Amino acid sequence: MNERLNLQDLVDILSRKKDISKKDAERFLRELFALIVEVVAQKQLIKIKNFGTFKLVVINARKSVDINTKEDIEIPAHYKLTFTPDKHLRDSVNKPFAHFESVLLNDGVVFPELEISDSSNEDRNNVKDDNIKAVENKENKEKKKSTNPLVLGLTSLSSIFKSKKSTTKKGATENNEEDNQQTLLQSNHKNNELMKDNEIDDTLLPEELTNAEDEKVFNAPKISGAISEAVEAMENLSDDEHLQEKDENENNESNKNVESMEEDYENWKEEEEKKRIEEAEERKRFEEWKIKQRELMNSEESIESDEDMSEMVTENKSKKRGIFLYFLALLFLILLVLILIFSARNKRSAPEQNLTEQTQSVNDEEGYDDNKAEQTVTNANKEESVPEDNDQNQSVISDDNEIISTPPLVKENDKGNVNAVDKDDLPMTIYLKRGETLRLLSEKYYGNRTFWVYIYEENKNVITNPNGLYVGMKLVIPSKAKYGIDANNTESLRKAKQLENELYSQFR
Amino acid sequence: MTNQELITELSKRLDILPEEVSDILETTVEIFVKNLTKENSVNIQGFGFFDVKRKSQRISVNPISQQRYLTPPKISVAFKSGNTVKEILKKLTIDE
Repeated sequence: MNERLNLQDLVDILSRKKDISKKDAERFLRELFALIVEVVAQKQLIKIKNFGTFKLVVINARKSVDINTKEDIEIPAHYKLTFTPDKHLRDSVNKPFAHFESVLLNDGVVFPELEISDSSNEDRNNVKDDNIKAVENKENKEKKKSTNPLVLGLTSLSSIFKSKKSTTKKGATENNEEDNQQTLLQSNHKNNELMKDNEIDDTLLPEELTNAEDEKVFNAPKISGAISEAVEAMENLSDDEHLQEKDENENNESNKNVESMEEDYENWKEEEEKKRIEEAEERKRFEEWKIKQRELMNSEESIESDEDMSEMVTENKSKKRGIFLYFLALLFLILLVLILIFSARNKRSAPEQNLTEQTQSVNDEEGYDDNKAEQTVTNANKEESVPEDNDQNQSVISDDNEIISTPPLVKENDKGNVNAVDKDDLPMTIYLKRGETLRLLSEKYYGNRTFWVYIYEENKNVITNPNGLYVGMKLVIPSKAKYGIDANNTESLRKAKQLENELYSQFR
Repeated sequence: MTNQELITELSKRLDILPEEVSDILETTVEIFVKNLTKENSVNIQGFGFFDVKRKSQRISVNPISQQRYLTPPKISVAFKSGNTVKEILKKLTIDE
């Protein structure tokens, strides 16, 4: 790495590779460069295959300052030898970064500092992710409703309230409450800003906006108080049946996400802990052994004259070495068993997780439909207040319940993309290795880099930011059928591209 | 001057077969590419200095459509001509 080669090194390598004398190699190289200079001096360009083009360019005269005398001088126009690398050279040099593509930046995308994600942050991100998921479900819903800042304030408060609820369940209150208070202040501040500028809100606060959309519909009449009364409103919200249901749905989801994440983390921590302990033990044993060795050496020296004694000592030594070797073998065995157990457990847990995730998303969607259905029904109730409607209401609810209780496969049947049985091993669980990126993984498993978005989608609960992965991360590579991934299908590619752009604008 | 012309000229000067020249030239290029890929730099006394530069990502703007692009980071080859070459080129008169 970063060696600096000169002509002599080149001569050496060339003579070795081509099996020619160093003299010949040197003659060749010198002649080559002399010829290049000669050709270039005739103002011609010279092209070398797979290497590049040497060419003269004119540098126009410009003014400068003499460094020593500080006088103004003029650098006359002159020629300069330039080198343009050939595609082959360019690509092979740029190979580590080859998978990057230039990306169109949307308006209003500002470059934030790299996200520093600590544990308290992650919870919020999770909630955010859920909301984004919800947004995707309601893609068809109109987005450009005039947003009432007051409603916004309330809904953002309610979202905070939700997150508070979920966090208290988890029992990790302190950090999150601080966090919440911060967001509360922020949201209040934002409200003031929003009065002036609703447009920015569209891009900056998608979660709050969409919350506002679906909650405003039936909450708007209730919300007449000022922001200072928002706490009361929060209680109202919790009284509200439908909202509570929704709350619970979201809570469940975020809780599950967080739990699974925590589980993963715990597993990982345990593993690390065990390894560390073992290493420490090993080191200790090694130290002990070393000390013993030294003692033995000393004793050997002191009793060198006595042959019988020294014989005994060496015998003793070999015995001890045998014991140590035995210990080493034992340790190694234990390690092996541990690794096996862990890999087995992970394999078992992977599909389970996958399944729960699916059911979660289904529940989420159903929950939403549920809400909507009930909402319309209750509206009908209010308007007509006919007892028959109550029956209808009940029947609707029971229907919904049935749907919820059915396994996720039914839902997929509804959608029309039945899971074909995969010939590959997908979905599978992998652990991120050094140097791997979502794009590279996508190319490896799906044959196109653009499909990384689906790996991200699948692992949203683990990946807070697709730009910030860590080595050893547990990722699920979803099956192709789940997202309709087909590297040869332009439609599928286009969809992925679209999603990719959305993600880019979200994370940059 | 194209690659083929270069090979013929070299074979004339070195008095070896063009096929051999082509072979050796290819190997030379290979050595260059390999070393530059490993981010080694190559200095040819009197001719110039081949180096590898890492360039960080930047935002580029399409001047016509005013669209902004995030251009990814890249590693590229840089070449700086040596003093001998510079002296030779100084003597050239500029004609447009």
